[in-house]
Amino acid sequence: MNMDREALAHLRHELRTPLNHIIGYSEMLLEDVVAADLAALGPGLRQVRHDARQLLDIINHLTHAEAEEADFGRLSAEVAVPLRSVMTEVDRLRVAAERAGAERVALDLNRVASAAAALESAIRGGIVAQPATKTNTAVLSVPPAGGLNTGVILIVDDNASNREMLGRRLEREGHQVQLAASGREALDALRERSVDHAAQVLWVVIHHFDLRAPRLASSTASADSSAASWANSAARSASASGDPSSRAIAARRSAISRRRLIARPPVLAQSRRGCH
Amino acid sequence: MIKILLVEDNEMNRDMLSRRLQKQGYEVLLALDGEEGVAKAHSDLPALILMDMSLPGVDGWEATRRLKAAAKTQNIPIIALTAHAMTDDRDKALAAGCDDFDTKPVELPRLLAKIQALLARQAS
Repeated sequence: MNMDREALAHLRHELRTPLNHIIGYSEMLLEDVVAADLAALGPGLRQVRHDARQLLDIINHLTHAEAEEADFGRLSAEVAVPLRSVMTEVDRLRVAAERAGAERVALDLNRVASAAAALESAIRGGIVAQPATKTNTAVLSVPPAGGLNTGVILIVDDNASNREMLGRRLEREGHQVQLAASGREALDALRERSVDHAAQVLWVVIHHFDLRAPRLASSTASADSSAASWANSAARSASASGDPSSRAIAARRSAISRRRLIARPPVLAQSRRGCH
Repeated sequence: MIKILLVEDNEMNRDMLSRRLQKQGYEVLLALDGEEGVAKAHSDLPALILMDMSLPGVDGWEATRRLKAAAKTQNIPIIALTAHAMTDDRDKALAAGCDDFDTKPVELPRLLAKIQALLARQAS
């Protein structure tokens, strides 16, 4: 029996959206670097665009309209090389752009990196959500590739570079990682997950709170007290919302104490201890 | 300067496409959802609308239907944009009243050709 068409369309949408960002930004950057006399970045950007188009072909092929199921195992295997190539090349380009003082280009490359991480996370974590109105069709979850079964680590940090750097390092350790740029975004991400997985709580949400993340932070507080303030605000919002994942945030409020704060730059081993 | 209204909820898509269109000499107006898109189309009367179809609240299909039902906006060409890329997406978009359809990832030369064709048709 064919996969539910709506679920399949949604899956394609979820996978193609980050690819749209990778291809679009790399094409735009190719135009920009020529104009900005940064032509040395051109070959790397062309490589990113080439790899991204290859990824698009793979995704189109494996999620075509007549697909009987979304084969995440095959998808994961086939995208591994081009996706890793995109990530490696973007890292290299970002360093080169920063060294050249091309801040805008580096910022756009951060976006490409973020899109690549989102794509990897979607494929590895099977986080592609079904439409909210659908239940029990096309369950797309797969266990984390690293097999650590430690759940999803949510990194909440308003600084894109910090967020992505820590995310990538944790992913290399075999964790599933989700990124959020603000407290609000973190809560939204957790709520979405609770909708998808309410019936099968197979994972544990672990919070890597950047306690100065914006939106929910107290604007007047000092660094230390804003940490507590952010955590309290997040917990209050979570409790008020009433959904299971948000209650989990509230339940973990006690864990967010100063003894759990990890200084930046994070020491990975220290971060791991904070998780378990 | 020719005004194009881009209705798109995804921040990166909005940023990327608006910057690329601006480089082509278009003035780009932005709306984040269907409701805002309909309102901006009425207030700013753009020459063309690029409509993402998967929008929160009032989606692209409904926004298109509303725009095509209103005398003030019914002649504004609308190009549907979607990342679903399923075979019937095009039919659904055209049935809602869109004048053309394109898929994401956007291929800029192809999209520009569609924009120019619709603007030329509008002018004639």
